[in-house]
Amino acid sequence: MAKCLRSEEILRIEGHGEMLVKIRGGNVESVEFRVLEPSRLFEAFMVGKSAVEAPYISSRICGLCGYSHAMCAAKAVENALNLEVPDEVSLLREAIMMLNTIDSHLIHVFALSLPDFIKVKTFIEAAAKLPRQYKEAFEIKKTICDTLTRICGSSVHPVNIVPGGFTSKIDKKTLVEVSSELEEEASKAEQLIEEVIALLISGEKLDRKSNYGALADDSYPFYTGESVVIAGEKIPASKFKEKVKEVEVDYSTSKKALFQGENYMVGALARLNNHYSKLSEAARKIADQLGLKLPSTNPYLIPAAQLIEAVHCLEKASEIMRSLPTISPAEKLSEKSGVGMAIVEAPRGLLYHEYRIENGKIAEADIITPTVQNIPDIEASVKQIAEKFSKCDPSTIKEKCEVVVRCYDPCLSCSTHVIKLSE
Amino acid sequence: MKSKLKVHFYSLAGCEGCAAQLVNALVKRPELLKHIDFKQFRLIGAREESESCDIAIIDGSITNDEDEKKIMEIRRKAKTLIALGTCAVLGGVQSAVNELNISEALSKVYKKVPKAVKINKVKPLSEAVHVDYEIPGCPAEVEELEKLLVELISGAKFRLSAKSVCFECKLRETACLLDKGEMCLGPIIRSGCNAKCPALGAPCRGCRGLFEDSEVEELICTALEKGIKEDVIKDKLSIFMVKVARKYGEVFEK
Repeated sequence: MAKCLRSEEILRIEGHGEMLVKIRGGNVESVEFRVLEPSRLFEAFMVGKSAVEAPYISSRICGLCGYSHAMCAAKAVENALNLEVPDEVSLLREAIMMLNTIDSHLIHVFALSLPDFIKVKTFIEAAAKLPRQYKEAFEIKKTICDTLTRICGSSVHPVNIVPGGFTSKIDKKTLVEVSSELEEEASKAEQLIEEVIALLISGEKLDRKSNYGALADDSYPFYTGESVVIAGEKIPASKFKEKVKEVEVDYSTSKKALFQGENYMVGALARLNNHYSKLSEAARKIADQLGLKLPSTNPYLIPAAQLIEAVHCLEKASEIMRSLPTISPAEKLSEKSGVGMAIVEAPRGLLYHEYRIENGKIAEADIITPTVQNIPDIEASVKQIAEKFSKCDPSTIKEKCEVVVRCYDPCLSCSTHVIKLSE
Repeated sequence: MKSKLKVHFYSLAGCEGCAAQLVNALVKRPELLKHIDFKQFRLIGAREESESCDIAIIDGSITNDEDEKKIMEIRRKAKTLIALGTCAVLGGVQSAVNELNISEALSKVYKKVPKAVKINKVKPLSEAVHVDYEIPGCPAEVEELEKLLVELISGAKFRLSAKSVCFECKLRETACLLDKGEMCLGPIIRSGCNAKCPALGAPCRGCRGLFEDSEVEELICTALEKGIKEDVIKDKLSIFMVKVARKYGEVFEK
């Protein structure tokens, strides 16, 4: 008889999800990662609303990566309406995306994932075990949140990002001040992060080659870039949906996406695998010193990759902000029509937004989130782990599987709000 | 020493940004954890069996019968129940779904609706159970959360501001967006957010909901007089307050 292992609601992930692993005679027959996050039908209720509010409304899809949705929506609406955006606006968005990425990565590593690596159950126990490290990490997090709040009104949902730029004027003086604060934080962060990464790379190992997808640009991009690279193939945003297909499954409120029928991974490790050579000097030094071999096929290294990115992003965001002039407020959006799409790097990976706009109003919306793309890869990694430990008692298998799920940093609020534009 | 408050945190339909804000409040004021014991809170990994709790905090809105039953069960176990954030207090952006035909909306989202999808109507918590404290905001403000936690620990009553966002704009000396011809909901929305949106040139979209003395009709008339178009006014009202937008629809007929 097949042994069915059903996890309870998985703790320390964003959203409601559970896992079903079927094992028969030591063989893992199937793995289902079930997203049980309630549907909110964003793409349906956004229809009819003004395109100028697409960033503000879509930000509410996710409380951890709201910035990515807002930015991606703004970029997609701009593409739909052929709006020219000044370079300094794109660069400031790039820097802001980096800050949101650091914030999200710090929550994931310190609150959600690190407890597994130091063998405790909750974030609070972990903070009690490593008080200095948590205190320092929280100080960095607080600086990042304060900076985001200062520039965009809130560290969760930005209030001033609209198609065309920002609603407010952002002074050079503010940007220079912020840049200095970040620089100071970066110098403090390096030692902490090196120390914590050492804990994160000492865990379980899994060698599972996948395809790795990331936004493509000359830099290590989070916002800029009009195409992506998946498994070495460069794909413009306009062709993304020809290559990436979504499937629906009965057991989940989320869809799953495949690249030409195959699993692929997006997020910190996939970006690192694609852009390793473009890391900042300090970030590369940390990776080298720890003997991290890249590209890596080990999903347990995702949290470590996130911290390497955090070092890179602190340094780069500070550099970008220092170089920018005063940003003028955006022009009022005209009531034009068009279809446009855009891709950005959310903290958890590639995020795609597409809008059809009629006379300034949203007529259709389509959003493909990172977690939807990662679900097949999560299931494949869980399968391999369940096979490795299939002879163990059920609670050990469950625990081992949950740890690998958490490494991927799934965001289930996001994954449930996805639609397909009619084909 | 007084024993710690037993707290359960649950998320219904929402983005969990308010859960993140609670974490942010605790990061800012870690000493509060000396007085609070989270027995249930998925995001931080707490799942202890406990029959009852002193305080249940819930973010997200009700979207189906299962969640409605769940919230009634939570109410039964909790001495104090707190609705955290706009989704729990007002329904959130997704309450716009209530203006749509649900099966049509679902068919826009899924080719074949998966069995796991169960949405039927979006409701704030107060439509299903008695709520002791409502903390609006999309997301809830860290400062308000801090204040709430401190007052719960000390046994004091927490109260929201009973003034409009305009009041805070005046304190900050922010130039009036309505005067510039922009549709801003500041005059009818409860303050407590430090009027952060207008301060950044963005209109108030109403995430904190109406306050006791809101004069919605008066705002609509003023906006029309200032030459703001009807659909722009309705568009802003419909982000968080579709019900209000519907209720005052006839003002435009006059």
